[in-house]
Amino acid sequence: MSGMNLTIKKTRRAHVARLIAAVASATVAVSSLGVLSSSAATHSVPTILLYNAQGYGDKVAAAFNATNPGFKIVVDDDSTGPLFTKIQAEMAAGTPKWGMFWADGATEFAALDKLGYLVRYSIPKTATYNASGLTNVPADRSFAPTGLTVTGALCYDSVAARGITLPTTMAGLTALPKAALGMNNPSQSGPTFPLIAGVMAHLGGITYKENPTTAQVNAAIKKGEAFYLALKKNGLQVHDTNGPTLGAMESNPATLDMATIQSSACYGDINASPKSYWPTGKVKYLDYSVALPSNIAIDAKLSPALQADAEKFVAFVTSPKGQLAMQKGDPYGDGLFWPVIKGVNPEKFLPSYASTRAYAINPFVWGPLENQINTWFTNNIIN
Amino acid sequence: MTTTLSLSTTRPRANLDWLRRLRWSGLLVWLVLALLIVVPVLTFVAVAVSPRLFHQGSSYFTLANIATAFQGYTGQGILDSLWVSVLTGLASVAFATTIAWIVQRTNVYGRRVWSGAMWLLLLVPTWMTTLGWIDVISPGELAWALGVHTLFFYHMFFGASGIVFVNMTASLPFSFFVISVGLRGLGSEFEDAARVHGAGRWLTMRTILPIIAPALLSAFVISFAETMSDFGVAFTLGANAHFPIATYTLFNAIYAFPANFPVAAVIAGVLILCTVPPVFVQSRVMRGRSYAVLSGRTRAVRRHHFGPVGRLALTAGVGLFMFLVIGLPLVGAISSSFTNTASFITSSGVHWTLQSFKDVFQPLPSYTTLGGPLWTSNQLGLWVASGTLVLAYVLARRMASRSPGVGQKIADVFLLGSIAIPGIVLGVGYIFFYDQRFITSHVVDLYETMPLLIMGLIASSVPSQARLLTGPVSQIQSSLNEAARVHGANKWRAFSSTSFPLLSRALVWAWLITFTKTISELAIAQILYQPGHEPASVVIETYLGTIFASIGSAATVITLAEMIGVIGIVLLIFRLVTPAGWRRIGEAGSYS
Repeated sequence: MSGMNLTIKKTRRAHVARLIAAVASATVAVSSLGVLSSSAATHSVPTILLYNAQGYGDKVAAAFNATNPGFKIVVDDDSTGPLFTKIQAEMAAGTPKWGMFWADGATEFAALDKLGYLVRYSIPKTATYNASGLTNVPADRSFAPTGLTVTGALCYDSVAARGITLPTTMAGLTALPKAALGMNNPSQSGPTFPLIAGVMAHLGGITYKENPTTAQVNAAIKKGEAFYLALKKNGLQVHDTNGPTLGAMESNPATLDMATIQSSACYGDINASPKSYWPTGKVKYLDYSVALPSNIAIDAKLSPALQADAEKFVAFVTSPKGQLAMQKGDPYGDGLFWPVIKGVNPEKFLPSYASTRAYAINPFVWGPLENQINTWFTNNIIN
Repeated sequence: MTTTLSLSTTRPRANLDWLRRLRWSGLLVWLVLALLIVVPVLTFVAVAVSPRLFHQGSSYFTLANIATAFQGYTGQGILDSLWVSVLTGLASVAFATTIAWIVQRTNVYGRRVWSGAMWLLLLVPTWMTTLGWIDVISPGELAWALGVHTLFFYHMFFGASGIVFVNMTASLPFSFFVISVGLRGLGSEFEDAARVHGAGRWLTMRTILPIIAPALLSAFVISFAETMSDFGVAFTLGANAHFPIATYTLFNAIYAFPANFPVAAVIAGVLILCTVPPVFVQSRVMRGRSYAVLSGRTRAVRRHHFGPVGRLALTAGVGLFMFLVIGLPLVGAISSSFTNTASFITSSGVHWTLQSFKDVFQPLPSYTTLGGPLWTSNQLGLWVASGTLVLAYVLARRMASRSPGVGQKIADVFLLGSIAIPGIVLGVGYIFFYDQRFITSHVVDLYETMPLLIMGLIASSVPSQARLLTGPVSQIQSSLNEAARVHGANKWRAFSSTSFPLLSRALVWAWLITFTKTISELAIAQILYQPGHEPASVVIETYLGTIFASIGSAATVITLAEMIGVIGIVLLIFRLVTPAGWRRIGEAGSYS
């Protein structure tokens, strides 16, 4: 009899357990339906998809959406590389989803413009660019500069570099102690190709205004290659992106003394709040650095109505109000840029833009050479 | 007599049923495979020879991209990937067989711990293993804090040896589970028979191992293909390893400015074709042989009992090995997550803090909190794992067929080829196909929606899971199902009372593997996620690529803990809802 009771109890327990398991499984299954319903969610107003690689992009879009109820900017945050790949794949397939693209650098925008993917003359007349901003406005106004940083600033750890005489020129980098210098990989780091192109352009004497001949460009490339081969011979360290390069300088013991990278990345770590990530970090400008404008552009395949809406967003980010929203959106990261609009001051941590001696490159000359130069760099400097 | 008559009278009808079923089920399976894998991948690969189809050049047909892909850096990458994959496959199978035998067939201490460690290893994506190792051996990191100067290993790690090692550790659990299932299904009677006939240990092993040939070959082939397609190692080690591998050169081609889709397509095509020889060898070895050893009469296995010293030595050996492959990188990642500095040791010592864990949920202005993305990843995991399980089982049954037709053979090769397709190619292939105007306008507009991401993740999971399930499925004797049908059971009843109990554990494992892999998957997620609904892996990658790597490490630790929690819950549910007999099938016991 007791054996029978035990069996009944076990059976009941098993039934209860199965019931609980079934209820739990059903609850999880029903709640996971949310992931599908989110896809079906529709917006009550037209939307424009902003492919955004800027740290402040979503904050700026939110500020804009709050005062522009007629349509909505939806932000797709990612790194420049994946976003640029998606744009090209979408264009190849024929039904682009992107509406605007916002990232650092001008060469990728020039590449998109050459393919006819961008709305031309999209920069609003209301944009009151300052002198450094105007330098980076393309002739066909197919993309709008929204801020300036520079790449090729010499960031260094003052403890690790103690005893080393810092160079004053870019050419002087080749005379540094062996393996003291580092930089990023142009295939991985968006701001690095503009640096290499800028060095080549400077060595070849090609300014952003010039329309050089092929022979002039090839001569500049040869000089640039010789420069980077000399750096390699001197133990140049190449890390993927700003993060690992800064990490190598900030580690203890530092495995890298100094690097030519994007200045805003160095300022971000040095001036981080509430506590500096890199109290021993310093930035020095050589005889020139390379201008790295951030840009925004509009998809040429957007409907005319949405293009007009997108232009309102471009007008916002090229207004003083928009520039301030960008600074506040990521105050210790991408917000550390030099404004391109008159009447807006940079963050207090930044020196004057003139002190960077920024050298601008023509993205339409150098953009098409990006694959060629990056491949050469991979084959000859990295490997 | 009655049975004989009954069989003879129903045979013609059964033949017709079989033909009817084959036609529809075969078509349906191919349709699903076509939509998930075949068409998107072929669409992308077509760019290699016809770039103009997708506005990538001026030629409708050209072989120039093939020539380009085999030159210089990219050509070297293809060659390197081939030998790295072969070496990884062999090493993975050798180590996995040894560990599986020790765990399944000996009295080693902590059997559950070692199986659990394999689970943990399976959960950890290769990019995290790599970063864990970097957190241990880089200057200024954990090993230096302990006074061990690891510069030699640091330089070795960023080279071919590091790539082979990380890929081997990634393939190890796949191989271990496949071979373990094979060993579990192999009762002691085979060993006993060999020993009774005078075979020594070596000869017994030579007799037994061919019986689990499907598992060994599956393990090798999966390891080979997984290594060929692995994106995590390429992403983390590839750039600085001074050793090009195909996935890294493919990554470079796709992320170039402008993207070089045609050359990437050639590399993708080569990766797929490289899997044909291993499948061919597997097919030749298994042709016409039966490996069905699971039946209603399968006996529990008997363990080999080592003496106290031998047992301790064996346990120490396994422990040391597992510590090296999983313990050390995990310790590196966990220790990094408890600091908030650029390196583990700083000029003022080690600063322990929970700040990184706090930052995961109260992020810096330009970063995303982990909570929402982790929930999204779990929801995705549920859908992807469930969908994958159904499809993978159907495919495993077809591949385990002893008389496969041409369709099955093609499916087999293509599925394996699909394992070798890096996720990034699948992602771009999905855009190329599902974002075509005629589909978005006239069929369905799926791009940048969750359903398409789920489809992509299922497509990337099904090939490996189907092959993982092929081993257990091929071990089930068809007589079990036939006996149930003869006794009047319908198809579902026959399946649920014979095959399902035998396969239940393998199915639960397959579900869990897919669930966890979905959460850590990065390449497809990064290309196909719905804007505003980033999965956890994308958010973690954002942190790891910056100076805030310690926050990324903390987010990874939280995600791993959450995955382990889900595994515990699912295994508990399995324990609660299944009869005890289901869980004992194939279990080792000392009573037989």
